[in-house]
Amino acid sequence: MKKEPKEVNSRNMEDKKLNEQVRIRVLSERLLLKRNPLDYQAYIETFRESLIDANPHQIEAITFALEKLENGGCILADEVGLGKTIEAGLVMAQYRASRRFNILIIVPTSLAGQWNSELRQRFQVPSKILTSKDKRGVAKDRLHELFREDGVYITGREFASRLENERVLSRKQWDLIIVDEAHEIFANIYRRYSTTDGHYNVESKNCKTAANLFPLLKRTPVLLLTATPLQNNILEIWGLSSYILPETNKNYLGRYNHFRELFIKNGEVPEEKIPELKERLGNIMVRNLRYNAQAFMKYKFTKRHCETVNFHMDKQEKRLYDEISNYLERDDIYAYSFGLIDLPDERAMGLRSLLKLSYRRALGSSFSALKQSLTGIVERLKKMITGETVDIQNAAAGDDAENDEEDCLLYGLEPGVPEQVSVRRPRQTDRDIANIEMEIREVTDYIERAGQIRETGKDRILVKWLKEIFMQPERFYQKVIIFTTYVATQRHLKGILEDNGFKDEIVIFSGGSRRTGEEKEMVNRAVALWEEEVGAAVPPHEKPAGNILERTALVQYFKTRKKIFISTEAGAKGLNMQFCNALVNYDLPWNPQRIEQRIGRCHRYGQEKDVWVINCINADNETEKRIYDILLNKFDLFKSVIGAGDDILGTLSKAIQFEKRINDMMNQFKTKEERMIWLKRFEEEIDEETRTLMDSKLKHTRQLLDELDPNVTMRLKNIKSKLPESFSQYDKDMLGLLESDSLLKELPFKIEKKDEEQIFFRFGDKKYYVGKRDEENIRFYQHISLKHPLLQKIIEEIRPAGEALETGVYLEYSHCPNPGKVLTPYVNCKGRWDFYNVCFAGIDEEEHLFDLLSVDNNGEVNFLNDEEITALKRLSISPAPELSAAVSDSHSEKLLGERVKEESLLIQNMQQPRLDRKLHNLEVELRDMEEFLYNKEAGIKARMQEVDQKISGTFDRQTGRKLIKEKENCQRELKQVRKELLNFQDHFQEMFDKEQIKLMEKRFIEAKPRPVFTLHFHIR
Amino acid sequence: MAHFIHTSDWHLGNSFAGFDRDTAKKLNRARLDAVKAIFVYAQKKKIPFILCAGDVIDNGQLAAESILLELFAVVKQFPHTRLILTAGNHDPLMANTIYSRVSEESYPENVQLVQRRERIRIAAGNVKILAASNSEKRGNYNPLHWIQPEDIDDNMIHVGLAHGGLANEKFQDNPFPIEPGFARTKKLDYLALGDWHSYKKINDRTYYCGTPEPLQFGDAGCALHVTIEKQGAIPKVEPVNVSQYEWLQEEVELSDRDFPGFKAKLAQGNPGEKVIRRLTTAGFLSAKNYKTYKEIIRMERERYYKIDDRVSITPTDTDFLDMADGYMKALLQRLMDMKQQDFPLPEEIFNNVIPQDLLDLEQSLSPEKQAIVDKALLKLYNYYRTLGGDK
Repeated sequence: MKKEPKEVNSRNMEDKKLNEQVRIRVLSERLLLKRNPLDYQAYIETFRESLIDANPHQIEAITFALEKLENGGCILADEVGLGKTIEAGLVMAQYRASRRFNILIIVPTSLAGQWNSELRQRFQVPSKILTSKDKRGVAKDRLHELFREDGVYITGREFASRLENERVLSRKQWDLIIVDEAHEIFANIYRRYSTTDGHYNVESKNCKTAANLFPLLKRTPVLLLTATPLQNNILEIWGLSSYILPETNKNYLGRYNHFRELFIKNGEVPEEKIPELKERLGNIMVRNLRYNAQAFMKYKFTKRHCETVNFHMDKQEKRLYDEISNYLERDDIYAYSFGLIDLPDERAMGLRSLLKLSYRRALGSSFSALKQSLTGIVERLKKMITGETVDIQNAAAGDDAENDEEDCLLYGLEPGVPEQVSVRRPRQTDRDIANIEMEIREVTDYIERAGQIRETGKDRILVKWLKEIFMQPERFYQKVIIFTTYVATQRHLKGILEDNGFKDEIVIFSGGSRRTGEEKEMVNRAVALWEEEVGAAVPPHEKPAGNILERTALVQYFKTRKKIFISTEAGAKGLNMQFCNALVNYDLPWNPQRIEQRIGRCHRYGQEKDVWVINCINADNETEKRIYDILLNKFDLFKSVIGAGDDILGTLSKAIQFEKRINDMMNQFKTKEERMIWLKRFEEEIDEETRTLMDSKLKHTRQLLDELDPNVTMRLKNIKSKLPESFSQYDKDMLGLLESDSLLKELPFKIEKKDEEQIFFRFGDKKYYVGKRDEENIRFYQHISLKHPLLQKIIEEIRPAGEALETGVYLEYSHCPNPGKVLTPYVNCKGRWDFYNVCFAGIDEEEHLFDLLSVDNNGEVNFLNDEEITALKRLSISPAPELSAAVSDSHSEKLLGERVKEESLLIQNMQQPRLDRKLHNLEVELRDMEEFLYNKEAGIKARMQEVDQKISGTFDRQTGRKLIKEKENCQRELKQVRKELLNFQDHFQEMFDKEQIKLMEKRFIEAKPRPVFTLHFHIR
Repeated sequence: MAHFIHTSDWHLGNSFAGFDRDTAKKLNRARLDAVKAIFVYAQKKKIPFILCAGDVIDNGQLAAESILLELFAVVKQFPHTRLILTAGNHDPLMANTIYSRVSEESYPENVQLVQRRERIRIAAGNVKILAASNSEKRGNYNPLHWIQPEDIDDNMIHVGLAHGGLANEKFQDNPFPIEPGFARTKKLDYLALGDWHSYKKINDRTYYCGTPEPLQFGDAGCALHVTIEKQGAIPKVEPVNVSQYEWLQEEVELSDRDFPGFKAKLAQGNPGEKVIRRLTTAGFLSAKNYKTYKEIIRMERERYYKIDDRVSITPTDTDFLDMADGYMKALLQRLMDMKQQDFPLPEEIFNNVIPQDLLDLEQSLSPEKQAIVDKALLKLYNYYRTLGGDK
């Protein structure tokens, strides 16, 4: 009987749906497959999820890193500008994808904010910054609770070292530790090794900061980031590599004494040894060079230019400026002395220096900033009279917590610990009170006069420059960022610029804690606009909140609507503003790293135009001019392709502690002449230092860093060629999944446009895209990734627990346009197709997909080979629910069993070294703890001996009583430590055995097969 | 259905003479860890008992009691897994061996040391174990010779457990010889043997599992997970790798051409891994490469148990010519000349001197010729040196 068209259509639809049911299952399994952490495919998803370009050198670096982390770690030493932070972020994302969540990032304090920002923006990885402030009020034995939750933690290295001195960090099982700028501090660990026998000296006084962290870093997988692994001598590289293996005296580059013997002659690596050392280094270090990587990067590096804008003060300004400057330079003012007499000299000196630093900065910034500082002085002076307490550290604080912390450390102060001082009334004489009152009057006068100066010479010249910039659209984007250290200056500038034709063109950006009503209103407006224009398309789980939302919204506000962005140091951290290429330093910190951070907001990967940096310099202050000249000429901050931090010149700024030296000099020398002499000598010192670094003495050794691997270009090319295919397959699978779902649910689906990296489509009534994520399309299309609720829903529907599809089908050989000859022997045969997902659980869980196809060929069961399977899969499917199983379950299970066994052995062999390592690290960790307690005991005993000696040497009753009390305290401590030690030793073996059994269990791979579908087929 | 683990030859307390003290200690620890891994596996797979076919202790007479006590400490961590031990020829049940020195109270409840001959019934799986311990170091009898037809009960699974060598033509002097067909003859479902240090399947019912942790290079043992459905069924035997260390030995013939690859391979190793390496090197290197080679060997020595270094500096032309005189000298001169020229190799000169594989090469292979001649000369030189000709 002839079929009615309606029946044919519905039959076709049924066939189609069955095809899609099979297809959707295969695609979802492929997309969701839990992969081995070292599988290249495992981080395609990470790239698609994150806002980064997958540059080949970064893929190369993370492949290297992920492999080497299995053996303890490695050094990522790409040149500046190649994105080490991105690489570290990718490694972290990968770790998190394989459920290793506990990651510690140890950084220079001032970079903590930047890391936090980048991780969130690029990788949607939340992280918690912990600083000394978080320690306040927490008992020593509860400090480990700061790290209680699983997650990513960022700490400054001094803070991390202090914590680990008390074994706080060791109490947590870290999956990964990342050390940024590892060459600073950590590379010098070599100084604690003996040159004679190569042994590590626990008692050494060198490098205490690194030494505290040494055991922890050794036994945890560690990623060391540095653009400058070699600064002064090759032993620094040896030092860096010492963090990788767990045994104290073991190193990939050989024992310390052997290494020195074989690889160092007269302070250099002999030329003939370079190739060999390079080979060894290649095992633990990856270094990409800009000239290699650039050819394969999406964006090439642009140049950086500098414009020095000299301004003059008018008479009124100059007079006031000089008077205030003279006041602040006096050492005898009460503003510097209150309460500090009660403090130890060193701390008092540190606090004074910190205050002077902050006042000098204010002086160099604006009268508004100065007014604020002077107001603070008046308040403190008044409190001196009444005897109230004052927190001096807070008095010197700026707008950025991490910078404040760094400043404290520079002066040997413990950040976050308030230096609360006061002067008790009886200490003050009437004369003191009279002098204080006189000082108050003087400072109040300055404040009033400063308030009368509205527009300064600097302001006038800034306005002129801004107008010029906006008149050159071919050279500049119509955007300018202005940096200043002070919120007060920021507000002053806003007022000035609004009065000069820039009303409604300005965005204010600061740390957020002291906003005015108007500023709060602007923030709310920016957030509302962001929600409307961008937020609507952002999946809920990715939406930022709180402070992060505000920052994001303000940048977007600037990008889309405003011309000028006035920011404090808070904005120098972590904001990406490649849409702007003009930057003004309204005031210039004397800290090359901070200058670099500011410039790095615009001059970074993704910037398409050359960047211009405009520095406002006070031409009336010769000393300031001179300091600026040194910064300009001796450091490569303003001129190079990328900037400071690059190899030799970046090293320089760190080596000589520029800002501190300048500040100390200003404290010591008061006259212009003395200062100029000092500056000249300083300049000569810098030249000498530069010469030493550039010297041919290290010329050979530096060759080591030229190119570790001569095949790198070839490999990058290879990666670049393979990448598109991997991404393409991933995107196609995702698209295929959605397409299948639309067919099954009879929903509209249409591809609207395609380009190299993205496919835009309509699904139902909404628009989406798969492929590389960007911020351009976000207004109209939602980005689809595996985390998107739409995909999550589809997957939930396909994979309900325990249910596999099982049905009969016809495989339409006769309808296939090009069936090939491979299947000819099987036409009219029946068989079965089992598709399994098998989860192998060892150290990690990884899934593998198994396609088992077998055919009953005249009573003999043949398992199809790969070629036959591929051919068979090209046949279309039509339903045949009446078909029964031609091949029994037992045949299929037997084949599955064999394949699973093979795979289990492979996985076991791959995992075994990791298990060995974990076990070994466990032992080392427990031994370390024991040693720590022994050392503690020894320390207390030594103290007791000292006290005993003092007791026998004293005749003073009061002193004697004090000493006896001290001895009793020691005895109590000793008893406590001994108890701890005995307890520990008792439990040592038990702890070890328990952990060992847990790890051993993971060795024996458990395979859990899950059937996805079974099709009983008939080939016709 | 019955399932159990078959293991043997633990040799706990082996002195590992030839290793430094630190490594010997680690290797001994590894032996105990391998035993622990067997228990971990048994616990994970819910296997009720483990059969150990002798040589538990490396030297039963001299070993300190602590070695057995350490073993018991491990076993106590797995109270639900029964361990049935037999004594082998290294640790026979004699008056002064370790088993008699350690008090009975020290034995954990889940450990049973088989006395001379025992019949042990195990409820889990309805199993009967017919086991024997050796009571002397050498014996020329089958330790299970006493098994009678009455020992075989209906519906039970019968497993033999003993320590001894295979009685066949090849191994005639083995102590405690056991016939290969013994299991079939005595109607045992499985015969678990110990003595050999590598895994060997004798037949469907008779196995040596080998030592679970290598004692020397070449040992390839494991634990066996044995499953028997019912009386008479062929046992399903699955090897389980529990070894802690890998013993790798490698022989490398070096030349200047291979040297970069050798360096790269050596540098790739991971000093932290649990591998006992033995390297035998031979060959010839140029003076420059030889110097680098020596330095590398020195740096890498710590990673190796032993390096048999037989590499020499490539002899000069004079060295070659000094090897012989007369006809041989002319031949050698001709070989050296041929390195520079391009004419066919005369076959009659190379018969019995040059190996066959070189002769098989086509005479027109000039790009290869140099390498072949080098090889030939070096081989000759090596023979010459072996005979003491260079002294």
